[in-house]
Amino acid sequence: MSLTSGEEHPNFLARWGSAAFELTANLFYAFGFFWNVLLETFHFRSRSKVGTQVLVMQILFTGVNALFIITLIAVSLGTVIIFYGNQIPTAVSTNLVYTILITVITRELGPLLTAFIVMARSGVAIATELSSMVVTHEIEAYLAVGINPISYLVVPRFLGVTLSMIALNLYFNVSGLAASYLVAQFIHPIPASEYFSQLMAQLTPNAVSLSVVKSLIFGIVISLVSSLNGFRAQQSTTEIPVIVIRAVGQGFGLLIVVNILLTLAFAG
Amino acid sequence: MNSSSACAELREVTFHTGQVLLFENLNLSLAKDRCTVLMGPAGCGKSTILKIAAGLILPQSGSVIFDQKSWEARNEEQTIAVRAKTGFVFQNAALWANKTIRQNIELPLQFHNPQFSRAQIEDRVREAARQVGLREVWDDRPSHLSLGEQKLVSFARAIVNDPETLFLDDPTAGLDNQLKERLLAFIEDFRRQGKTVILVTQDPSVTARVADDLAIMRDGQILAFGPIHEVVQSQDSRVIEILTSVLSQAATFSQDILGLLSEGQP
Repeated sequence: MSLTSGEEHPNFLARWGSAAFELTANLFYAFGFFWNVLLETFHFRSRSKVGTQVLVMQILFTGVNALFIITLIAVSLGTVIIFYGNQIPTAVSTNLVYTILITVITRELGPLLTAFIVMARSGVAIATELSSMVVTHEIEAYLAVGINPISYLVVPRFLGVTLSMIALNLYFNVSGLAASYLVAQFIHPIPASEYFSQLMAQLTPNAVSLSVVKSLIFGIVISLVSSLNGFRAQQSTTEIPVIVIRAVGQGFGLLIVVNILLTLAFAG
Repeated sequence: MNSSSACAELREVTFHTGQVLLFENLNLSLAKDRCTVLMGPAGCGKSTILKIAAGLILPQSGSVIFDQKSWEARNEEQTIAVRAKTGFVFQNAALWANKTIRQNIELPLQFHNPQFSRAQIEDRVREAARQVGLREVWDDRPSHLSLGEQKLVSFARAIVNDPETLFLDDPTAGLDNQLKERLLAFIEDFRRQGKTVILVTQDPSVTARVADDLAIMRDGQILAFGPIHEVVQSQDSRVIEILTSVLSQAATFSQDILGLLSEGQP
């Protein structure tokens, strides 16, 4: 072994050791944060004397204000599936197109695309708002008057994003499947009763459960990742874009990993 | 000082941010029913001590006793009960940017008094605003106000629950003389009611006007602490240096404390 590599070896180990230590500490911190949010969520009704308004505003921003973009993406996805499904000669006759619709819209892309939109809109907004509140000492001002920032700021966002995520996913499904029916009328007209009965036959309890569970867990992931990163700001406004970019990166990465794990779990 | 007569007591407090050590084994006992002023050069840790005493930030080691109990030993309900009886004015006002001025002042009131009617809340908010001389800007956002006005809103928010203890971080910075006079009169009146004020300032006229006790700080150390008349007579060259340095920065407002200093000269 050369002297050079002998010298690099401890540095290499120290670097990896330090990174592993930091990762472990961050994971423990994240789990502690999650636990704290869960505890406060159970006490939300009794403790949150003033947090209900924040919850309503969060549902309005995350859910209602996102309806347009969700509709656009759901309709375009339904259209594309029907368009290409009809290119396959036996797709309609063998019900393959209905299987594809349910697989793509209900089981896979519906929840994931909805989560990406919610992360890009609400996740970014939450991380930006909370980090700027840390920098301007607004969080300390809440503490000074006795208001727990987790209870007042995080729990309404956690509940608002998670509930909105479930509702938006449901809306995505309805829009996408309804749009696919309307587009199908132009390409290959089918009676509504026949179309929807075929569709319902593919919509198994497993597919519905997977979609609901995904949207629930995605909502939890988005709200926690963005809140946790928001609170990591220290003292400078220049930290805010860095924190937001990190939150989005972590959020998207986790959503993809969780999506794969849930798909595999429900496949068995 | 007898700990039962202390409002806040820092015992062997060590605090650092990242690699920077601000205090090491710091001890300080801030008396109840008095106005204690912390003075010192910028960056010496005055605001941090104020926040540590108020339980807003926890030290890495040591303990902070407030009202005869450590902040860490209180559960959430006990902490909320203490917060209802304290007010804090931040150096940068720290108003909630996404709320109106009215919402900023009324939120602590709503939180601690959910039984209050809308009319009661409105009355208390208007009274707090009147006491500090805040003009009627109820539906404006904090960003529309000058820093001086934001400080007034922060002050109104701090007193709206009729606290027993006020923590004031440079409360008169950015205020014109008229508003400063009004706030000082309020602090004096607050003190006369037997309540406690812990105040950080660089302004010697504020110190001379309201301080019962004075702490002189430098580099995270308390150089002198005690009744103001004793501290300004200190023969410690470091204390004299800081006092004269602060006075030279605010020469036009320093007549009162210059008087106190001259009383201390042999």
